[in-house]
Amino acid sequence: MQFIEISNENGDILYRGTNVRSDDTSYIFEDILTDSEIVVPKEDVYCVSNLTYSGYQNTLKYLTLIKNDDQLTQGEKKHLFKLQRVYKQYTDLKCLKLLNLGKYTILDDVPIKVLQKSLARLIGVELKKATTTLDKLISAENDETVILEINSTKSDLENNVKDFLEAPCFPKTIEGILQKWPTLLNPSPFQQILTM
Amino acid sequence: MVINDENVPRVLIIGNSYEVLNKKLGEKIDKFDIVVRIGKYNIEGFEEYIGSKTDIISTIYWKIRDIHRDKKIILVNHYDLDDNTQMIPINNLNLKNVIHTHTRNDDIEITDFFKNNLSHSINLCDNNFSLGFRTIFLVLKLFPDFKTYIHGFDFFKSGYYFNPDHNRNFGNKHPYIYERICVKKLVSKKKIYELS
Repeated sequence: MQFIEISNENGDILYRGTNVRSDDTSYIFEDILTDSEIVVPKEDVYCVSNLTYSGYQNTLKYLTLIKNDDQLTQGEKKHLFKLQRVYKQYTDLKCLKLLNLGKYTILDDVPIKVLQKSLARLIGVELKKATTTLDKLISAENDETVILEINSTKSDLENNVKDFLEAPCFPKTIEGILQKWPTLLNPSPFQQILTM
Repeated sequence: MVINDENVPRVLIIGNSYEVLNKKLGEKIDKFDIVVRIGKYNIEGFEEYIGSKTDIISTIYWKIRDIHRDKKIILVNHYDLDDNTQMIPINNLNLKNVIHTHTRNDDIEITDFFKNNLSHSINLCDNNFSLGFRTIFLVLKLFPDFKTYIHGFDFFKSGYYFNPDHNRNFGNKHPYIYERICVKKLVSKKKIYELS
């Protein structure tokens, strides 16, 4: 049996779950809630371990992929709602930090133009990281065929990012900002938060 | 088993990139001893380009509902699904033709495979190799006595040949550009061969 716990900085337990089948998705059937409402303040969210949120994510996947709304029990619906609330708070804060918008606490409060500008800046930073890595690979490579491929990849990547930033598909909504990303610049740092 | 001129059986992995439409290689493809196709591949109407022979399908577990279950299957689990759980893929799916299920150990091995063939300095934290890259790794592992060919892999420089818009500018956790260079190195080292 495994235990998961979410606690705040004072050590107060906000949520406790047990896992009798050694898989994350069974939390939903065994959890013990200590409060009728889970409200996790900004400062407390950072106390939650990644492992715990992996458990949350798997539970969400299980409930949303395998069951339709009408198949969920009342208990499962209640827990799903709570999981989603906690998860949204957590991901909003992580995304805002990534976008260098720490003065906000939820994504919905950020004007869309500010989000777009921050996203463009983040893409620029990630592109620089990727091209630096590619340059290092070129420096370490002796094989001309492979060097050609790296240069070709670099060019494709830069074109993909340029097209993304200029295209009409550049995200205009919060959901778009979290999901859209230049294909060749993957892995997206947002996905690393959302699928933690 | 059909043996080629070199007396070595050949396995071909066909990716779904748009570039397969550049050459009509259908007849050549159908002469391979084993043809492996990926995910939701689509043959109908494209036979002269990609052939029709299909011996093995390599797919992610949650796409299994949409493919032909009479074929042999390499089942690639989602990276964070517990190996012992198998809750999502196995129940009620009648998967009697699975020849290999991706394991935790495969995750460790594919990371080593990537690093040993490309670079140890690339940070793979939280990355999730794409289905195409995983399939190349698994085929090399499962068919060590075969000569392995690939075709239709551009690691999302383009979309799918049957859906050019597929995966355009969506965020995910796949490190496409590094997979592409790694595969080029495998070709350069003659560990795999490109079909021409």
